[in-house]
Amino acid sequence: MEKVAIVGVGHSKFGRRTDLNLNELAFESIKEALIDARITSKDIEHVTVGTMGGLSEESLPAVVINEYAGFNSKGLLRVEAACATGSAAIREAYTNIASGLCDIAIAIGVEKMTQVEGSTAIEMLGRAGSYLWEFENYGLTFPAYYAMYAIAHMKKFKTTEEQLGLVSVKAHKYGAMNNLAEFQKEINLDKVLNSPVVSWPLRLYNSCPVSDGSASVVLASEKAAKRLTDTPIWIKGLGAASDTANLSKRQSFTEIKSTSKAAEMAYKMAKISPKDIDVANVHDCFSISEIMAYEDLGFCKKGEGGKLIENKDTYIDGRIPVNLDGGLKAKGHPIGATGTSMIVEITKQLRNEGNKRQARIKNGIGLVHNLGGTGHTCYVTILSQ
Amino acid sequence: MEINDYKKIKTIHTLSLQYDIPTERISTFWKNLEKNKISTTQCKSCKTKYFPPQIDCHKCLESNMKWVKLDTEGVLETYTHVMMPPTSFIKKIPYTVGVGAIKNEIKILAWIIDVPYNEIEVGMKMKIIIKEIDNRLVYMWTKAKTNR
Repeated sequence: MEKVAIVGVGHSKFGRRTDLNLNELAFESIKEALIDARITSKDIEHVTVGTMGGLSEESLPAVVINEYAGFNSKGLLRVEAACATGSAAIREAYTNIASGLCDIAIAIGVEKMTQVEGSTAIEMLGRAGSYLWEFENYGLTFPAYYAMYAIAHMKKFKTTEEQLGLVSVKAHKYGAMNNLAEFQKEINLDKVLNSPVVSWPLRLYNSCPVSDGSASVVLASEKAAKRLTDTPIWIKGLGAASDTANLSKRQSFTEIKSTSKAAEMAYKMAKISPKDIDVANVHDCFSISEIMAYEDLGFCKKGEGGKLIENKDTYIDGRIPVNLDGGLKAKGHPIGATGTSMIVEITKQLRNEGNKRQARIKNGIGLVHNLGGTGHTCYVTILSQ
Repeated sequence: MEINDYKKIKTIHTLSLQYDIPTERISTFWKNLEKNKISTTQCKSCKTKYFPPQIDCHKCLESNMKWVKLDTEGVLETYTHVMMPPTSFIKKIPYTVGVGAIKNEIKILAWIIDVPYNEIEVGMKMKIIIKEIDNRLVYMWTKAKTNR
């Protein structure tokens, strides 16, 4: 298997981007990634577009983006793994290079979600489970699924609403320092606890927004990376796992098993353990999912996730900085782009390009944790200097 | 005449998606609901029970199921009160969704009805009832009557 490096990254401004269409939005990050890699579209040999789709007018988003960016003639694939789509795109591009099929590939994560009424977007996302047995008669919403995790976690481990709120406070603190984030204002705990309930106990400020955005990553084989860049960031470990569609078939509501399985695979492949990680991005679609991720990734013992955020252990100067770009909560969650956005952030951290948000890098290792749906899928990717 | 800045074009062709979900192979489930019975499928070969009911056994790769009546008593494992619903459920809010475990074997996700908010808690004893909603039979959870 070939070694694979990240040689170029690009990231659009996330948020309500009704000022541009799907192609223009994708291009914003594609252009930046190509320039960062010091190549042109002609040098790309394989294109993977990660997008859930369905909320913009294009039925075949990968096809139109491929044309707009001048890649047409290369191998093209659209991947989807719900909210883990971006990581799935990275994995797909990675395997094309690792297998020796090509030397340079691009993974483009993109989502346009604000071209429809907000209620339409919410209805579509609510169907992310088993349609007939969860949505049709019971009107499940995406927040409702995670709210059920929160209730179980609060009952078993005494996690509190305040601890949930502190996750959002951290997200906004770093979002305010990230000029690409959707929300760039700090908030305090009161703001979270006084916001309207979406699905008890999760409130508006415990929930990530519906956003537009794109993030692109150029990957290369060792041979190509050597001539393209002095600062390749290596993909050292990958893990992927899945779990049941029906929530009722899950073994536990206090842990997301696909996370622990994917993490175990990634740690084993990279030959590292959680304590070796300098900086991480985890999937905080709702406050509870960040707390559960701390536990499922092995950053702390089961049930202690709430304490970790309370003690500020996941702040920039804590023992394991998490989501220094604002996370899904403050940076935004354009579904297909979140996974690639996380890879962009960790790449910049390992390249020491974090500026005001730069974590202290001791071991040169970063982790990306990306969930699909309610833990239907999980991808964990480990990057190293 | 209105000035158009052409900052956006609203599509004039709308798409409405309504599906006919094929349920012929598990139609017995709803026929049993009509008889006030909640049931599910169990593989005749390896005895594995499935809920939601399905006609195929992924353990032994056979499609040889029998229908078994489910116990209606369960214990609440988790729940939530939905306050912001999908558009099609706007008239029904707020509603409570919960997952109850029957004999530690089968878990069922459904609405919890006829229980005051402050009485709903993880661990509470519940039972399944079958109600008609919008001309459709739906199974729901409610609080089990306890002898005190």
